[in-house]
Amino acid sequence: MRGFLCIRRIITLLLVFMLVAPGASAYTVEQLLGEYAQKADLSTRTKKESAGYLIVFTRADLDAMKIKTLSELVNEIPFLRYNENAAGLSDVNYTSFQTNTFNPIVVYLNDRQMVAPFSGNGFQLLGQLDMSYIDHVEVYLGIPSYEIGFDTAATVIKLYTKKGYRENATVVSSSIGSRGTNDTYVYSGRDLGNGNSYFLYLDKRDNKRKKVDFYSPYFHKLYTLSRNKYTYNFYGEFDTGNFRFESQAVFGKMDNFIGQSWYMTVDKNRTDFRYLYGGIYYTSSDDSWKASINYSFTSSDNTQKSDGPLGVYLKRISPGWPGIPVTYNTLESKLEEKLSDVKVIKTFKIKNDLFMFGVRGRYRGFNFKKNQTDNDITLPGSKFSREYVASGIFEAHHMFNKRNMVVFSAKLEKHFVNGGITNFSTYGGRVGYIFNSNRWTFKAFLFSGANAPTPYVLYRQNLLGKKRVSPQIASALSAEITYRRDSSSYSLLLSDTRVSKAIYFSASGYRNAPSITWLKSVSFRYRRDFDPYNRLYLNLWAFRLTDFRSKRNLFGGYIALFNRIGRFTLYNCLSYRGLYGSHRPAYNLSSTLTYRATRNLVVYLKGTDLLNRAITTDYYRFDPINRHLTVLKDVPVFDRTVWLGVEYKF
Amino acid sequence: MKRVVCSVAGLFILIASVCVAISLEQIKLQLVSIIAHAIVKKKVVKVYLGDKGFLAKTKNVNGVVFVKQCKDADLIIVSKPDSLRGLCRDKPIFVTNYRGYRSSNLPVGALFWQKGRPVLIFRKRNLERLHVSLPKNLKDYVVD
Repeated sequence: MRGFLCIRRIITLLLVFMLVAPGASAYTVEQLLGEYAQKADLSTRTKKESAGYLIVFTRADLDAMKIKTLSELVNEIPFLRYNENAAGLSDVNYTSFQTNTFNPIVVYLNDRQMVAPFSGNGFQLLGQLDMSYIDHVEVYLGIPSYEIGFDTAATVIKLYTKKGYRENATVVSSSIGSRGTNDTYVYSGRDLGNGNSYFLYLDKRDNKRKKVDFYSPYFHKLYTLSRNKYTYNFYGEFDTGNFRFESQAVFGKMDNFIGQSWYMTVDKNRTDFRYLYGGIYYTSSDDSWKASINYSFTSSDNTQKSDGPLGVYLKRISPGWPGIPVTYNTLESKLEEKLSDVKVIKTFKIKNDLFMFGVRGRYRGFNFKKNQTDNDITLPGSKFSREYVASGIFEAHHMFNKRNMVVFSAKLEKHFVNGGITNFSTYGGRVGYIFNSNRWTFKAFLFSGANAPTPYVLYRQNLLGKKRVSPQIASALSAEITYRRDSSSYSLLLSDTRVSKAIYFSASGYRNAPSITWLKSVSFRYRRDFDPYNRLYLNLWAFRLTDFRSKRNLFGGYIALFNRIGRFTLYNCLSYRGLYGSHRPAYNLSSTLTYRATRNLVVYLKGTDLLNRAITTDYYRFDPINRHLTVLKDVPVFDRTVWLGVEYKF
Repeated sequence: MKRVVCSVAGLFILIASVCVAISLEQIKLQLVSIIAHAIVKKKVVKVYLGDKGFLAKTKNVNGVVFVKQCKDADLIIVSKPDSLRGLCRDKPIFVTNYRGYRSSNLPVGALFWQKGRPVLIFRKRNLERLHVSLPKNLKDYVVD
């Protein structure tokens, strides 16, 4: 009850503040410049309304939030509940005893899909990394157009890096937070004239997470489980107008929380990883040709030591016998992953029609260089180690007049895999109608497509000697209506998705679900711009998943306020997630107070999970030999953290 | 009296710009008008726009008339001030580009992107050279 009163008081204060703050400021040239920045962000940038249901986090939003990680944004994205898996990695779809069978979120960094060749999940790669080199973020709900990227999902997050020609500065920033968490970055970007510009960024982050204490009654010992992450992130870009050269290098060490330990009795679980990337992008002056070539290499060394077992292997005693199960308590593995792709897109514009054709060839390969247990036993691996994917897309837009438009898109993909796995094809298609007037926008899309199983699923299935599972097939019908009046907008989104052959993990390997999985969702969004610096966002949504095992209802929403009073900028956001299984309702209050001391110096104070009531997760581990279940309940996936930071522009 | 008219017009433009939903091009036009009237104390200011990328379509509004020759202008708006020749170099020059502002001593002011935001700036030395006194609402944008 006290918690409820506390939240009510905070909401009342926020609402009072919201009503009073805009009236406190007078219109100035600064505000006209603010309007200029906002309009430039939202119109001349990459906003593509016809591509899907779009939410934009502008540079001004991200600056006011002083956003630290992508995971923070998930609180403001409908139908998602931020979560972390047993390795302490970001994973919105995490469920105990399940692995990722498809990617619920596809993340792009500019035009590069962030994808791990083995696990396939880009959100895991970027979820807890720094965001200070990101200019703005677009979130597409539903299955967006292939114009956004060849690989789509229910949620597509596009991160756009800062551009040298819009920076024209060298910035150094440092912050220190709770538990000794600290972060320092420096970036420099310049317009070099004649359409050339560069942007260079380097960040060092020591993300000290809250430790989780776990007492094992089985081993009569207290274990401290860690999810700390220590990373260096370099990003560089050189832009000539037509050509863009991109490179990135991430080096890090991370503690992998529970890892594979059957009893959560972790002595050591550490991964050292390296990610290297280079890419070249070409865009013709009239935007009719686009081409890119990308290469990335990831290497990770993982060491796990546990008092209880980490896994089991079959020790062969004599030929013809299946062997006896032997458990192991240490595991050292080294995984190398490579990803490269080449892409060409041609667009034709003929009067009111637009046609787009694209082809892409992609290679992804991975190799366990080491997978060694106690007594130098090397665990057996699957023969599946590489995949070639050839993709072709087609998209057409037809405008009947200025207000009415229809879109059609299709994709065909052929997967060539090794290791004795049968090659397979996937497809996708989408039709849509868009109506747009000064006050009203209506969009409706019908999508149907097959999702390929992730390489991890193919690998595990191949290792278990099982037949490959079929791609799961999703069909979605969705519609959104938006009404705009003066500086307010109201949107209602409805969606109904049917998934057949959904892939899930069972005791005997991966399988396709015997019946249809239904996903129904509704979202209401409201935005009010009092002026360029004072605005309010509100979102309420509900999501229902029904599959052959259970029914799950998820409710959520948030209210966010951005205000400026004199030299102070304020950001306050209260988000809610509720009724998800047995978890208590979660509230996350995040606030940032920024003070612009001089033209060049900014000081800020930022807090996340200030109510200490954010999302928690239960973790389960099972010993299949002794049939013992270990449970770790109510582990917070957000840590209450307060940062004090300073930023200086040279 | 002119100053009062200019200030009132500027204030009206500002309020209108915030209260009514306007496009990016309209905002730029209004900024050009404010800058032009701040530098040139005339009811109608003739502006030469050398940076075609700044405004896709020029429209004679808010007391601004766009001219085709820089020699006919009261104010010159360009991205590369050093490319100007002859008499044009002696007129008030305003730049739309960070590089143009930093690489030349000619501009009286600039509007460019920095840290992802538009920055408006006036150079004190050149304002004094041209005997320009800015209205109160723009004094904060003057740098040495």
